[in-house]
Amino acid sequence: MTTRDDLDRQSPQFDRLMAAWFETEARVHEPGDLLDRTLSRTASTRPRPAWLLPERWLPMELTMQRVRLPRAARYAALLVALILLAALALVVVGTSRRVPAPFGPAANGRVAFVTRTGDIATIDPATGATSTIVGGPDADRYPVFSLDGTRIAFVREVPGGDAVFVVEASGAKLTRLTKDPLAETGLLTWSPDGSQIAFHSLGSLWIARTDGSDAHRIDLDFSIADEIEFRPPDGAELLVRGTRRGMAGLFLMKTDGTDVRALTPIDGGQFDYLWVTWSPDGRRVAYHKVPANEIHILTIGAAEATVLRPEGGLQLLFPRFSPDGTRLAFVVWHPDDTKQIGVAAADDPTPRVTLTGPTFPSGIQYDWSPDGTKLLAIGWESDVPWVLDPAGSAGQRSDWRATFPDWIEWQRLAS
Amino acid sequence: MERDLVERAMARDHDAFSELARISIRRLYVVARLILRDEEKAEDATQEALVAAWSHIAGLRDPDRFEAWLHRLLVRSCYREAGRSSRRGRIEVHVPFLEASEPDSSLDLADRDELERGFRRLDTDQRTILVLHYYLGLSLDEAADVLGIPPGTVRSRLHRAIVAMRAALEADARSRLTTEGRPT
Repeated sequence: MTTRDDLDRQSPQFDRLMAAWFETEARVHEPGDLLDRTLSRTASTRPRPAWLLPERWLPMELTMQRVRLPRAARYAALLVALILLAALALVVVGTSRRVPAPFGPAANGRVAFVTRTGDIATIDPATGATSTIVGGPDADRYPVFSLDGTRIAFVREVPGGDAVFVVEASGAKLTRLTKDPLAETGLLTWSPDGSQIAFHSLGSLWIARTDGSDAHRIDLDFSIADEIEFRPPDGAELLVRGTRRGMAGLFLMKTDGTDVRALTPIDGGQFDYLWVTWSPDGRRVAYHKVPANEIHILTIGAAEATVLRPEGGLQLLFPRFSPDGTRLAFVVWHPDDTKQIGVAAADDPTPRVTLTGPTFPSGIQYDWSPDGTKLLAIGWESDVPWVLDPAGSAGQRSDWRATFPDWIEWQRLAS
Repeated sequence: MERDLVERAMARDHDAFSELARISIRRLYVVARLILRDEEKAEDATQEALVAAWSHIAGLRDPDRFEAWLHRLLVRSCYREAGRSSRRGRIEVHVPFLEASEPDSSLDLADRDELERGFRRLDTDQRTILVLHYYLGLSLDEAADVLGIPPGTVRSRLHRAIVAMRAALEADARSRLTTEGRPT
C-alpha cells in the first residue's frame, strides 16, 4: 500500500499524491445539458440592481456627527393638519372595514415572495404554509402589499416589455394598470389610501390608479433612480431619489410632480441616498450614504441630518424604521466581511447598537414584522429565513424555506 | 477570464454571461463533484452558483476577480447542497466519463479506492479546503478569499483536513485488514 506510506512521509509527497488523485478524479465532463438548463434559468432571471448589493459598497467608524443640509421648507402646520386628517380618515375607515391604518404597528400577516417559476406566492411565516396567489406561465416579480394588506401589486413581463398589475391578496380580481409595455419597470409603492401606485420606468416617474383607469408619466427635470416613497401619513407628497447631471440626491414633491424641492445636496454617487425609509409620522427619513457606509437620519425641515457612523471598522447599511418609529434597524457589516442585523433607538442622540441574530456570510434581506416585535431576515444565496428579536438574541431559524430575490414584503393586518 | 466579457455581463449582457458560463461550467462542476462526491448535487451546486452569479453580477466590484468570486459562490452552493439530505431513493452506479488519456502511473486503482474512501470520511469543510488547495492550486490567501475566512483559519483547517485524511486512511486500512483476516 503506497498511500499510507506516502502520507507518513514528507508533506510534499502528500501534496503530490492529493494533486494526482484530484487530477484523476477531475477527468469528467459536466452533463451535456447542464449549461443549457442553467442558461435557461439565468435568461428568465433579472440581475439585481447594483444598489441592492452590498458587495459593491466600499469599506470604512459609532460616532454621531452633524452635516449641513440645504434649507428646506417648514411643514409643521401642514403636518399637524395632515395628521388630523389622517386621524379622521382612520375613524371613518375603522367604522367601515377592519383594515390596519396605513402606517404604524399592525398585526402580522403573510409574506409575499416570487417562486422560481415566476409565480407570486405568500407564506405564513408562523407555519410555513404557502399559497400561490398568481400562477401560470407568466414571469411575475416585485410583489408589494398595499398598506391595508388587502391587495398585491406586481410587475409582469408581457410582450414588448413589462406591465403593472394589481390583484386581491386572495388571488382574485387581477387588474392590469398599465396599457402599453414599459421597460425597466420597478419600485412599486402604494399610496396610503391604496388608490395609486407610483413606480419608475426607464428613469421616469409613473403614477397609476389602482382601479386601472389611468396610468401616466410625470415629467421631471431629473431621472428617478432606485427610491420612490409616498410620505406618511397621507401620501400627499412623494420622496424620490433622483439624479441630475450624474449626481444623486433626494427630492420631495407633490404627487402630480409639482413643488419639487431638493431634500439633500445633489452630490451623491451611484450608491448614495439608498434604502430610504420614512418614520411612520412622516417627520424623518433615514437613508444610506457611501463611501463611509453610514446611515443618515434627516428630520424634514431641519438644516442638519444625524449621521450614524460606527467605530471599530463597522459599517452600517440598509436602514429601516420600526413600525412605531422608535427604533431603526440596519445591516451591520463587520470587518471580517460578515453581516448582521443591528437595532438602535431612533431618537437617542448617543445610540447603542444591539446586534441580533447570526452573522451572515453575504448580504441580508430583512424587514420588521408589522407589529414591530420581530425581524425577518434571510441571507442572500440562502433559503433559510431567521426570526430575530430586536432586543437581541441568537435568533430562531425558521422551519420553512423561501427565497426573496428583491425584498421581504410582509402583509399588514388589522390588530 | 475575459475582462471584457465580465464587464459586459455586469452591464446585464446575457450573451456575455452565457459565454462566461460556457467557459467556466466544466471547472465548476468538477470542483463541486470533488467536494460533494455526488453527481446530482454537483449539478445543482454548479447551476445555483451560476444563477447566483448572474443575479449578483452587478455586485462584483472588480471584474478581474470574477473567477475567485465565482469560486466563492460555488463553495457556498456546495455547502448548501452538502447540508441537504439525498433526494434519491435509489441506488446509483456512478460511471464517470473519463477523458482519453495516458494511463495514470502515479495512482493505481487500489490507491484511488483508498483515497476515495478516506476522502468521503471527511466533512465538507475539510473536503473543500483540500480541493481548493490541491486541485485549484489556490494559495492560503486565495483560499481564504474564496471561503471568506482569515488565512490563519485556512491554515489550521487545511492542517486538520490533512490529519483527518490520514486518520481516515488509517482507519480504512485497519478495517480492511480486519476484514481480510476473517476466516471465510
